This record gives sequence, C-alpha cells and structure tokens, in this order.
Amino acid sequence: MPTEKIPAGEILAALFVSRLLLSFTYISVYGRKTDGGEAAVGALLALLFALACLLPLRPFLRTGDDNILIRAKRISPLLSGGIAAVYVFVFLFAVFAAAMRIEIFTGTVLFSDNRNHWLTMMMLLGASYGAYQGLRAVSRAAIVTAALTASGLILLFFTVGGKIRPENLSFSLRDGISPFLNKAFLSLGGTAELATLPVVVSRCGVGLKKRAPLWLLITFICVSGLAFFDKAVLGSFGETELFPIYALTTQAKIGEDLRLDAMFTAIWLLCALIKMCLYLCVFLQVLRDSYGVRNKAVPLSAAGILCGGAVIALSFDVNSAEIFTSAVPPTLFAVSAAGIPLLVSAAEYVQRKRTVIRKGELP
Amino acid sequence: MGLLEPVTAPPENNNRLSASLTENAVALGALFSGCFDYKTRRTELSSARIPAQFFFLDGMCDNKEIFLSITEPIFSARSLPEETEELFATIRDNVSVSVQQSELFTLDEARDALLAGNLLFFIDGNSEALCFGAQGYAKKAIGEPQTDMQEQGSREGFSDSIKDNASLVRRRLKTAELRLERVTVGTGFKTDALVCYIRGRADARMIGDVKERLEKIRIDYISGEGCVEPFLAGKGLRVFRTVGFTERPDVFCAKLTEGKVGVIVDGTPHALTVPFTFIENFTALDDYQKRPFYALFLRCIRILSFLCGIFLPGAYVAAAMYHPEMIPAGMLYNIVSSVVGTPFPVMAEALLVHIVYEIVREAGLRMPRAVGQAVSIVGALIIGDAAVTAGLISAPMLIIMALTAITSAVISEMHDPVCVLRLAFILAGGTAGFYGLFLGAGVLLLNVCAQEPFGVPFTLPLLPLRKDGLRDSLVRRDWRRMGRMRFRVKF
Repeated sequence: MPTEKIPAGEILAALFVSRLLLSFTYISVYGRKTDGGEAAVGALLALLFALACLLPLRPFLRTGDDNILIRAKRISPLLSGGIAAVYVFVFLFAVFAAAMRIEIFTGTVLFSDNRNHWLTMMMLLGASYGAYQGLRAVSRAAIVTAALTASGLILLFFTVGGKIRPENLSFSLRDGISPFLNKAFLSLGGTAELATLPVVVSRCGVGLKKRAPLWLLITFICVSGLAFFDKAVLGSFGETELFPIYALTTQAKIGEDLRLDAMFTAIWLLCALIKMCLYLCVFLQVLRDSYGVRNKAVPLSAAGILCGGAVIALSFDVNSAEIFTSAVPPTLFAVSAAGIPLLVSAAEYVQRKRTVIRKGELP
Repeated sequence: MGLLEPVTAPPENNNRLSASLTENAVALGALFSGCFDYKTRRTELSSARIPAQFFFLDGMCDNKEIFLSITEPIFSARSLPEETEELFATIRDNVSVSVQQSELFTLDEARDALLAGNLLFFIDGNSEALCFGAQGYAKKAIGEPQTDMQEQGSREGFSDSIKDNASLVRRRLKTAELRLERVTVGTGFKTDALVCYIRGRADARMIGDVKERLEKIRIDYISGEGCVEPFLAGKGLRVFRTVGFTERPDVFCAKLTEGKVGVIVDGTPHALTVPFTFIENFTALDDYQKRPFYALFLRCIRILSFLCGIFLPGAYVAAAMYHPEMIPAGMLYNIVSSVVGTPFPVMAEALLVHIVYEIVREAGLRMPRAVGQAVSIVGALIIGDAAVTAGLISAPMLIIMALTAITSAVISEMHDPVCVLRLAFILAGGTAGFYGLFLGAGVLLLNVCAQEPFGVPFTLPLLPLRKDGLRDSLVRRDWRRMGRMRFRVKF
C-alpha cells in the first residue's frame, strides 16, 4: 500500500467545511446582539487575529513525518502524554459541540413536532464510520463537500441578494470598538481548526504552511459574507431567531414559491458529518502518535458513546447546552492553538540550549 | 516386460510414472474408473512389437487432429528402432508432426494433461510419456458481446475458451511485451486463468499482488468471474465494484495499454481488469469513437442517469413527505391530487413499486424467451396501467419509477449497487427528508473515497487530482492530444 501524503488542499477543505458549520449553526439569542455591519467587520477582524494565531504554529507546520506530538515526545514522553490528553479533550469536545448544535437545531427547527435524537445519533454513527475509513477518505470527501458548500453559498447569496435592505446596514461606532473585538474573539474562539493543523501536518503533503493563510482568508470571507447577508436581509429580525442563518435561507427562493432552505440545511448537515469525521480522525491520530493505540474500533466506539450520551443528557436543557458549548471553546482555543505550541517551542528551545551547553562542556 | 504381466499396485516413488506400461494403464484406469469418456488405444510398434498405448478423454480431443498429426504418422512410420529409449526419442523428434508436444514424468501431470484435453502416449519400458495437444472440446464460437453494447467498434466478444480469448488479445496487441501468464485458481478443480499485462507498463508490484491474490482463492469450483472478483478486490465493505470486467477484447486491450493488469478465467466470457476507478463506470468504447464534445455529452448523460437512478425516487419521496415547498405549485397540485386517493403512504408506495419492478426484471432475466412477451404484457399493462387505474399507486410514482428504471439501464453494469442504494435512499428520504438523503450520500461518499484497490485511489483522477489522468475523465481529449499525454496507473 502506498504511503502518499494527503494533499494539503484536501485537509484545508475539511477545515474550511468545519469552520463554516460553526457559522451555519450560530445561535444569536444568547446575549451577543450586534448592530449593523458589526458582525461582518468582526469576522474580518477575526481573520487578522487568526493570522496572528498562526505565528506560534508556523514552526510546527513544516512538511515532514513529525507533528507536534512526536516532537514533544522527543523532549519528554510525559510532555507528549499531557499535550495529547489536552488534544483528546479538545477534539472530542469539538465533536460533542457540533453534535449538540445539530441536536438543538433539529429539535427546535427541523423536527420540532416530534423531537427525538435519532438524527444526531445517526450522524455520530456515520461520523464514526467515516473516521474508521481514515483521514484520507475524509479529506477526499471534504473536497466534494466544500465544492457543494461553496456552490450552496453562491446560490444563497444570489437568491437573497435581491432582498438586501439598505436600512439594515447601519454602521456606527457609538459603542466603540469593543463590539467588533468581542465579535472577532467569539468568532475565532469557537474553532478547533487551528489546533488541528500541527497534529495533521505529519499526514500532509507539501504546502500546508503556505496555504494555511489562504485557507483562513477564504474561510473568513465566507463567514463575513454570511454575517453581512444575515444583517442586510434580516436586520434586527434575525436576532430574534434562534438560528439566524437558517432564517436567512428561508428567504432563498427561486421564483415566488420554490424554497431552497431544505437543500441548504441538508448541505450543512453534510458539513457537520465531515466535521465530526475529521475531529474523530484527528482524535485517533493523537492516540496513535502519543500512546501508540493502533486499534480504531474501541476508541471510536467509546468516543461515540461519550459524545452521544452527553448530547442526550444536555438536550433536555437547551439553554445550558448552548451556554456550555459557547463558553468552553474559547478557553480550549487559547490552550490548544496558542498555549501548547508556545509550550512545546519553549521546551524545544530549552532542550537545544542544554545540548549546546553540554557540547561546550565536553573536552 | 510382457503385455500380460500381472500388476497389483500403481507406480510408487512420489507419483512418478512407471516404466511398465501395464502399471501406468492400471494407475490411470483407477483414476478414471467408471468414466464413459475415458478411452485408450493399445498397439505395438516396430518390428520388436513393443507395446504402446494412447490415452484420451473422448469429447475433449479433436479426432481429426489426432489422426492427421499423431496416430497416422506413428502408425505409418517405417523402420522404427527396436530399442525402447530410441523408439521413444524417434517418435518424439522425428515421427510425430504435432507442434504441441511435451513430456510428462508423473502421474499427476498425466492426469492433468488428460483433463486438459490432451492425448497421452506411453511406450512400455519407458518411464516418460508424450503429451500431444489435441484439444477439440465443444465450445461456443466467438460472437457478439451480450453485455457492453456499443454502437461502433468491433463485434467480437470474449468466449468461454481461454485459448480463444488469449488469441483475441494477442491479435490486437502485437507486441512481445504482452505477457499472458497461466495460473491455476481454485483448490478443487483447477480452473485455468491468464494474468495479462504489458511488461514495462504494468507495475511489477501490482502484478505480483494479483498473482498472490489469485493463489489465495479457496474455492473448489470457479463458476464465473464473480467468484474471482472478491479475492482480487480484497477485504472491506465496498458498495461499488473495484474490479472492472468486460466482455470486449478491444476494451480489455485498451486497459492493458494503460498499465492495468487483466485476468481471463477459463469458462467465462468476461475478463477482469485491475485497478478499476469509479469514473470508469461512466466510460464506454463509443466515447473514443466519437467526437470529444459528444463524448462529454454522453458521459454527462451517464452520470446524470446514475444520480437519477439512485436519488430520484428518494428525492421524490422526501419532497412529497417533508418538503412540498420545493415542488413548483402547479406540479404540487397534480401530485397531491394523485396521491390523496392512494391507500399507501408515499414511502411505502415507492418501496412497493421498486420491489415489483425488480421482480419483473428478475423474471425477465430468468424466464424462457417463449413466455417473454406474456410477462412484458403483464408487467406493463396489468401492473402499470391497471394499478394506477385502480388507485393502488399514483401516476407520478409510476412515472418516477419508470424513469429510474430507464436510467438504470444506461449503466447496466452498476445495476446491483444502484438497486440497493435506491432502496436505501427511499428509506432515508422517507424517514428524514432531504436531510436523510444528504447524510446517506455523505456516508456513501466516504465509502467511495476510502477505496484504494491495489493502492490506487478509487476516485482517481479527480481525488487526488492527477492532471495527466484528466485527459480522459469527464472530458475526453482529442486523439491527437491524447496520444501525446501518456497516462499510466501508478501505485
């Protein structure tokens, strides 16, 4: 069997789809009201912050057979084990958060009449199957999904473009810069994609370091576009909706009565499937690289049961679920995307210094 | 040794043939005792009246060939040596005019040679036998392929005879680099197969891999290429086949020139090729005979037919049950008025019609041709028209299933997975609407993307993108440009 690396474009397509899902399932009614174009500008600011967050990751994005875990293992197996434990939590939480959002979405919007959990559970099952097939399969499927998603976005913007109301595009700085920064941090903090990069780099072909900024640019332009159309078309009405982006898609029509929201929603669910597959794959990779766990079925089953159980348990209290899935990710982001790379960089620096000193001491 | 020397046991020493003709005759007779087609012809040669004997299976040999090339020259030979060894050598080298001739040393070789339709010749006092190729068993003539229908191109198709199939390939690829290596597959009845490849184009590892997988076939009797295909495809759940098969020698040869490895199994008119990529399901020989723009159109039609065959019934069920807002208003009124009078829910109706269609199709395949017309009338008029008139099923559903059946016929080789997937997507659409459809499509996509037969991604040349492979994917380049762009399947 060949050991070809996965093309960087495929990995980044999966991360693109994963990040967009966060925007699709953005819930607006929990104290994050914004005015005018603040959401769109906030998304662009988030891009700048994300590019800045790439800086500590850059030393770990070199093409090769090493990733951050293997490099940490060379310094200290204990360090690698500790980092791996954090990563396991980060990625499993990302799976849980995606499943929880979908559960809230299906329970309140799609199947509000006869709520049950089977669609979310089927998605988790499908995601486990996809993860079992491997990162290579998920990445290839992500290319198709990304193409579908991009086409869907273009169609959405095209169909709702005629419903933009200029009066919705109020833009003022009456509250200063803080709403923009707040929006930017929240937009950035809900993501685990940046944390994925230093882990999957060992499976990636050339070009990940160069293409990562381009990926961020495209992703946040799409996020910004969604936010812009959300505000421009729905205005303040969107803030009263649980899922404003879904409310936006209900405005997408061909002709007078042919609605397209079901199709767009189905594409989002596909994105959710890919996202969960991706993070489960990365979770398996963390286990393999740090703890030498080669078996896939047992960890995947455990992860599926854990996430599924947590989703069912929290689904009875939607408010708590939403608060939990919104409050935790920024912390995890700070730790995984910035803290861990800085820690490993510092440890490598110390190790290099010690080696130099030892060499200097030798006769 | 005399003719009538009593013998009580077959030859010893690792099955090696005995120098005694009688012992060899007894041993072979024991192997084929009770077989009506096992024949022998005893004679005496030279002035020393040395006993000799022919062995063959009646019906497997060509009697005319035996007479002209073997028995007539031997019997009419003059001044044959009186010493056994010399007699054997003279017959082998100077008397027999058969060009297919070899020597056998063991009882197992003799048995296998007989079973292959050869004529065996033993001389008393010599522990070797001569094997003459005189096959003349009944076989089907080379005719037009029954599947793989094409508008243009050759009208020859593979037959059941491995030798005829080999000649069809050899005639088209006149190069010494074409390798046709014989292997035996199956544990019980030793079916012959040929591993075909072009040296220098096919990957050596892939060739070795194919041979290894063929050797591991643990089936007694190979009744068709379908018995061999799972072993070539390898382990894992595959929705779509990852081993190509064709009844056309021109298609087979074209795939060999791309560096693929082919397997021809004796007794089946289909040849297998590996590795097989997903896009090949939508290509046909006619694409290469027509202009590139029309080839593109045809391939798009096939892909559209495939998608309709899988998704159309499920999409209709999903739209009718969960997303009526996606149906234009005028059409929606017609559908509602048709559906409202039927006793079954839309999903149940779709499943029922689908299953009835498959029953009619299966009946059409298995029944004698004499009653074919009657079944067609039953299927079309009674089940179709009468069911709608009686209000059992709605006309839109019948139209959907008819369209699906026609689109399935466009890519008939994919009927098996399309049939099952259609059923699954009807269930998915009827249970969760478009959401279920897309999720099911996502899982199917993951399965397709995970396949790597012989290390070659199933989704080549699109995923991962191979620019040299794009010359012949959805778009087929003009022959003048294709000839300049070499594409080889690589590990």
